[in-house]
Amino acid sequence: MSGSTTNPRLRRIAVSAFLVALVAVSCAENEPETAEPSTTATSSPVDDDADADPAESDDEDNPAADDEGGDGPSPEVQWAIDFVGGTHGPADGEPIRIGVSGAFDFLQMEDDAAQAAADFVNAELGGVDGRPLELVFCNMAVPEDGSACAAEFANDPDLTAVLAAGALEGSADFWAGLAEKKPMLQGAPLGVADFTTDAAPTYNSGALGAGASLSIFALEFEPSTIALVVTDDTAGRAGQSVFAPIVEDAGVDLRTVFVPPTATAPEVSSALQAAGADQADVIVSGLFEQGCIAMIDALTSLGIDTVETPFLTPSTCWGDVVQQHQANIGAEYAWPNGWHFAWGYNPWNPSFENGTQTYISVMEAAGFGNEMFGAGGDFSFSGILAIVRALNAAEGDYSWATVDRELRDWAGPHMMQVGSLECGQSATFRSVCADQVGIWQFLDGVWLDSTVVDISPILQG
Amino acid sequence: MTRPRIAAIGAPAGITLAGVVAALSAALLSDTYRPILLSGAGLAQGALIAAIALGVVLTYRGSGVVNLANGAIAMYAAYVYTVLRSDGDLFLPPLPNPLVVVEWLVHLFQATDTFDAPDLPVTISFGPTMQFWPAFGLTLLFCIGLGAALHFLVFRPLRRAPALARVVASIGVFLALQAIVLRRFTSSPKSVKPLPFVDKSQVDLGVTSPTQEQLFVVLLVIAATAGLAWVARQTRFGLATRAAAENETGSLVLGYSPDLLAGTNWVLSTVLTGALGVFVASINSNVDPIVIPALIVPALTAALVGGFSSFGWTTAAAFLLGMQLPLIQALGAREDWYPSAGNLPIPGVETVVPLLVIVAVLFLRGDPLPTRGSVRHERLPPAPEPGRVSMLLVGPAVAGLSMLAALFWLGPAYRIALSNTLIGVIVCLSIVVVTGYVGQISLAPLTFAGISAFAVAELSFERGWPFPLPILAGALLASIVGIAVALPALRVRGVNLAILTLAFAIAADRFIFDNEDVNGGLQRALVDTPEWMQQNRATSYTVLGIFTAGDDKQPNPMTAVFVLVITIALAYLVVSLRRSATGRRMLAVRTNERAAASAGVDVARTKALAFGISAFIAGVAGAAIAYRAAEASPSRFSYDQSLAFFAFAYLGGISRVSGAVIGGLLASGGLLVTFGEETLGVSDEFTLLIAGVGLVVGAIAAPQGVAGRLEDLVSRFRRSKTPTEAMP
Repeated sequence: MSGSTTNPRLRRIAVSAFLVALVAVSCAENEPETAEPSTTATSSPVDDDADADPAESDDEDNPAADDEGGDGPSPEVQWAIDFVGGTHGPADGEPIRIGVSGAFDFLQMEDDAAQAAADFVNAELGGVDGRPLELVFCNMAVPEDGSACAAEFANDPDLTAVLAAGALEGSADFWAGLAEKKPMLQGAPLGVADFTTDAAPTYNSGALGAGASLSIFALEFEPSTIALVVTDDTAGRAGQSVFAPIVEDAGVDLRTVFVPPTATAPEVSSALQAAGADQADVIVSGLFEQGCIAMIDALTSLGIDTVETPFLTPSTCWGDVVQQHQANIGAEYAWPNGWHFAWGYNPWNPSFENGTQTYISVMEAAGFGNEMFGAGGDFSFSGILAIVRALNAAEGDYSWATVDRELRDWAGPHMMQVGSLECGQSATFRSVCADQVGIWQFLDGVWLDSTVVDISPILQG
Repeated sequence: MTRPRIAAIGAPAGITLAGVVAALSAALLSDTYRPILLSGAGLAQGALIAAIALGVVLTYRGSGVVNLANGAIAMYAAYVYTVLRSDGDLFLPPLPNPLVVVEWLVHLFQATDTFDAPDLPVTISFGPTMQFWPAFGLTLLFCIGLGAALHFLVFRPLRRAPALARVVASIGVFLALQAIVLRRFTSSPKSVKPLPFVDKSQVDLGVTSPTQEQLFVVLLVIAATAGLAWVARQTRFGLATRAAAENETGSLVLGYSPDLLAGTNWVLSTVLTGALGVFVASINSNVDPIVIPALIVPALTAALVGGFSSFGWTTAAAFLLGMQLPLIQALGAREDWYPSAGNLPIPGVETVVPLLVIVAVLFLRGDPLPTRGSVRHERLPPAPEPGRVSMLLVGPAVAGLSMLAALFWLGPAYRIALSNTLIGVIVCLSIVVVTGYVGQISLAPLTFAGISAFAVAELSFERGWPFPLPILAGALLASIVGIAVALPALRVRGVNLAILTLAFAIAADRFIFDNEDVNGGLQRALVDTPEWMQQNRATSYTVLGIFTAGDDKQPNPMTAVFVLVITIALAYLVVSLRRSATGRRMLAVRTNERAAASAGVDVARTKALAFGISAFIAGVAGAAIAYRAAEASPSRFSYDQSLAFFAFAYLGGISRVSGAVIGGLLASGGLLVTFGEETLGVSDEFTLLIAGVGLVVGAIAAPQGVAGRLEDLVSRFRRSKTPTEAMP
């Protein structure tokens, strides 16, 4: 006797309808609104438009393609040509396959920006040694995806290199599965395994760089007390583990409060109170976008003026979500007034020299707006170009040893990053190559000039 | 016989509760901590918890259902409101599109697929944006529909079902609502426009200075509490609801329809929860699929304190739970005596407080939930005794074929999927023992797995224990913890136990797995995996010099073989358990504890043993996960994955070993998901939706699970083939 209360025929109909419905739903909606399907190979536009004239389509698709005079590349394109060591013009021939892994459901620009970069390389930068790029995507949404993506890439003999754009799940399995099998570059380190792996260097210092640079920068205010509110996750703890010893060694009374990555305004507000923010000389935040919104509201609710009290944060707080919130609450400016932001570059005060203008022009041509700066797009795009640079420098020898050496020995500067690179400086954070971070203040509607902080002494212990 | 033991356990529980009260009192008396305890932030957090808890109480009073999905309902309503305000759209859940069948048929006859059937709309547009009141009104209308749908389509059919089925259905609703939002908006937060009539400026109340928004929500919650209490005590509707809760038949005789009363309470609950969800999201300025649903545990804690009947006590407890958060944060930041891990305040104390309160309340109350006067209770899904043939022949044959498939036939993607499936089978086996055989709802299988995994990391890598000793040690540790968690189960059952184990799983996520002394911090919790089974070896094996196994690609086939051997061993253990006298005692306890006790079964011992065995099996799964990944990682053992595995086990057939096998097939990254991705092109994002909707449908229509349905079909087929003897 079953526990059901309905008659058997109804039960059969319900179960059958359910199964049919599931299949129908699944088939009807293979593409989510914003996310890419996992593990799909996409051809470059050169392949898609095999019959079309590439030069003609370039002009239509990419306003940054040529300068106003006509023949030569635009300054933005020329910058990219110089960066990757390529030649102006479309790529042709047998594609070079690059694997791209990432958390495409969460950092939704990672795959879009990587594809935009590949399209740009194929259309304008002559590909890799004249051959077009073809990207193979693998989405790491759940922990099990790490080993699956690693196996897929490792077992693909035609895959030349891998960009690990940045994932929240499965990274440790991914690094273990691909170490010394494919040359790899990290877009941005997000978890502990990303910082400590030997498998792939990163030109982005992530939370470590933020923690280190903000600690040095905070001391410039000669504080006696600092209130630190930081996410209770691996990135937050990594940043805090670097931040705390530096300011404490300088005799500062540091009060750290950890909050969940999904902290709400009341939680951040209580964390600020617990950290003594109302009495602190400097307030430092280590929160992600959602926490940044909560931080803005919490500071308002506590009546803390961030023009009077220096407020320091990584760039996680200057993205589209924060700007939207500022608009929603009727704030005077798009960014909170007085805040100092740490990152490798400032997209809101874009520089031509570090390639930000190139990134913006290419992404705008591809139809993207402000979201290009907030969801992994920048480090994914620049990562593809850095891999192209390394492959071009390898001069046809695409072995793991050669390309890996090209990736690690490069001294930079990297696209959309300040300063030079030196891989292998840190015995603990072994993947991190970037040793300088910029800090920008937004004050009274204006972005002030950056302060560049050298974090190499911290990396070297 | 068990009374002295219970008293011994109950005393510390009472002390714990007294300790919580004392700590709050001390904070009130302290000039330093009083402003923190009474801060607007803590009050707002309390209001948030109360908002969900009030809905839980309302639903329970009206229908006898402890709705674990109430937080998810608040979240879903907040999304409806947010999208209406920002885009003027009412978003729709994924709906089945019959045209897909036509598209599929057309493609069968096309060389290249050119026909693309139109997709169903994903939104209904009401214009570019919407002002507060129309958006709020439409959201409330939506909540009315949602509440009615939940009652009439989900919980009304289950009104005579056992507690397990109703808990399962509410977990299904939880997962389905979360999956729909994840499908439509991903896990990124969505910005919410502020409320038009209050702002973020502070209001000085003397003892505290909340913002206007915080004060508004606090007052709203208090008003809702007072209103609900008044309705419950003073109105005919409230009295009729109470009467129906006491005696359905009696209320029917008096002219009140229990169904109508339950449905009305469901609608009221959903509207109240949805409205408060909108306000809470507005003062948070954003909404995401994780934060509000996760508040269900403190909300259930508050509801438990209120006995699932008192609105006043529930709200008071919710405020205290909210106010303890800033206090604990402040203590961690300021006090040297506060326990630390890795030179930092120990994480997750705020999640341990609800757990302690739950344990204390359950012990001090001494009784399970006031059980609603049901007409009759139906039995749990049958747990048939496996035949000797299936045990001795079918099992080894299936296992042997699987092994061959792993070694010779499957490609890399399916080898990984096979390992994931086998680990899923092990986890589901642990659920079969504790829930399928003994009827105890444990929502923490992955927590026991995690405890074992981190023990394996410590023993294998840090202490150098040789393989496979750490597996046994880790599983034993999990077993001991499982028995400790089972102690409350000696006098708690049904949904109370589900609440307790859910609180335990959430507390363990933060308090244990996020603890740097456990997870290794920057050094990570590495595991010393033997070289022969390292997953990332691209290798093949020549067997007897005759044939070659493997394809020189990773993953190493021996990883799958290792997990397979463990799975077979544990499946035999569970099958043997079912066939043994202990198994029969477990089923006796499941059926009727009083009858089992009168027949000489030691109920407490049997329950504790089941928890111990279940946790041991889950511990082996955790050890396998750790050895396979060469690392124990917190993200693999989170509470939401426990819920998902519970769903898979129930869908497969919670009282059968074969059900565990089917549950494993459904697991994340398992064979079915991989088949869907690789062959059908169906995204794994549907896993959660399938699990959620499948749970609801399964609880209503097929409580015996897929395995039970298959067995029914097979036996019906056999009967149809057997010539019937002519009647004399």
